[in-house]
Amino acid sequence: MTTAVEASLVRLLDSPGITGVALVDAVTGLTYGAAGDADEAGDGAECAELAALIVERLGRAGAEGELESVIMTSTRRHQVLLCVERPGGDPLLLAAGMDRERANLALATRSLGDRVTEVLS
Amino acid sequence: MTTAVARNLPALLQGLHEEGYSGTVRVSGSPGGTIHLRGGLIGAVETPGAPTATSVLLTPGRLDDETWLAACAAERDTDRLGAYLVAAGLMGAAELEIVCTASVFDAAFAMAIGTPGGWTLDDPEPTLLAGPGVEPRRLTEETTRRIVRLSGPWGAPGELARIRPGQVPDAGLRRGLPDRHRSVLSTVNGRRTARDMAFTLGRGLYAIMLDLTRLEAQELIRWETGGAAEGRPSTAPRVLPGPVAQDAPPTRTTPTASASKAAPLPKRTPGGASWPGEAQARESPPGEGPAGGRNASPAGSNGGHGGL
Repeated sequence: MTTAVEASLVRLLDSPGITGVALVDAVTGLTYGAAGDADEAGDGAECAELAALIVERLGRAGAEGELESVIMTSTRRHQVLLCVERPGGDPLLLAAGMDRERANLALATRSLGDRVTEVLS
Repeated sequence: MTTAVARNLPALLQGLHEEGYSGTVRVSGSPGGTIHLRGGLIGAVETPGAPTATSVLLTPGRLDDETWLAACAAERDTDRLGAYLVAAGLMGAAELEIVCTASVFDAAFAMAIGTPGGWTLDDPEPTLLAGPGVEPRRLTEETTRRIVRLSGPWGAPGELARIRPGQVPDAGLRRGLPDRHRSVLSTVNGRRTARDMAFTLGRGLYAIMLDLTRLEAQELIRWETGGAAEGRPSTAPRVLPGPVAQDAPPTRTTPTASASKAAPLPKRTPGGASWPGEAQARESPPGEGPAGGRNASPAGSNGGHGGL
């Protein structure tokens, strides 16, 4: 049965090169839904731990402000974690896996950022 | 599968899932709670140990009280209240689903770290539901992961939940802290437990406990001395004033021995009258056995024992 979260995430697969997306609780690591290849999006708990570690290290280095995104690139793939602020609730992470040959990282990331608020609608 | 033969709560829920059961499972114990099933899927879990989805919506101000009361008045069937909130444009369907799903997992975690009790089955009760619901197996696996994640030097998550973290001077002035951590720091005062903070902020218990461990690792809070090791102060055996026996046997060195060092336990004299009220003071509360309540009073005819 498709959930409301999954129905929202499916629309994000329209962007070229995006192979899988998942919506994850940035604090608990709970995955609320996924679309496409869920393995490409990554494990929710690991994504949340990674983001928390990066926030902590950036904070110790004196960085101000909230984390916006984490982008990891291998020879064949990109993995992007976009932070999604939620009114009156803990933040979320939109985890997306991209095929490096088909995706334009800058355009795909911007497109995800622009449409991320649609996910909660 | 019959509920009478279920060995524990996860087995019961899995059996009810296979039956496509719709109804309510009332779980005793501390904190205990209520599990709402629809078509075999878990649509909501309510427990005194963690904020409900309603609290998570109202406390941080995602919905104000007037809007909420108006919605409740307009849609009196709580099972359909979520659909009403979405149709009225008060929330997105996905956002509501996220809040309710998070609440299911958080309440299950809160119940799992407490003392397990029995259960009884009941008819369906209206409640705010998490979309189609959560499969019991996934709930069990996630709860197990959370318990493992929060087991540490302090012991099991149940011990961590009893700690009342204390402030570290100037912690709030540390640069680079996310707003979420600052809000948790603002509630740390040496008297609140993680549960108290969860209700104060309208956030999940597990999320708060996770944030506390991260803050402690950064030395921004401190575990109050002996907070976890002394167990539950409110239910600890009362130490009555009186003479101290000189030939008291040495106490074993255990994490719980700190209280004994502070005030050695009196020794019963054979044939002599014990102090008034001593026997009552040492008895376990009714229905709780010495092994963490495993001998809790059994549930009804459909009852059993076990935590998530």
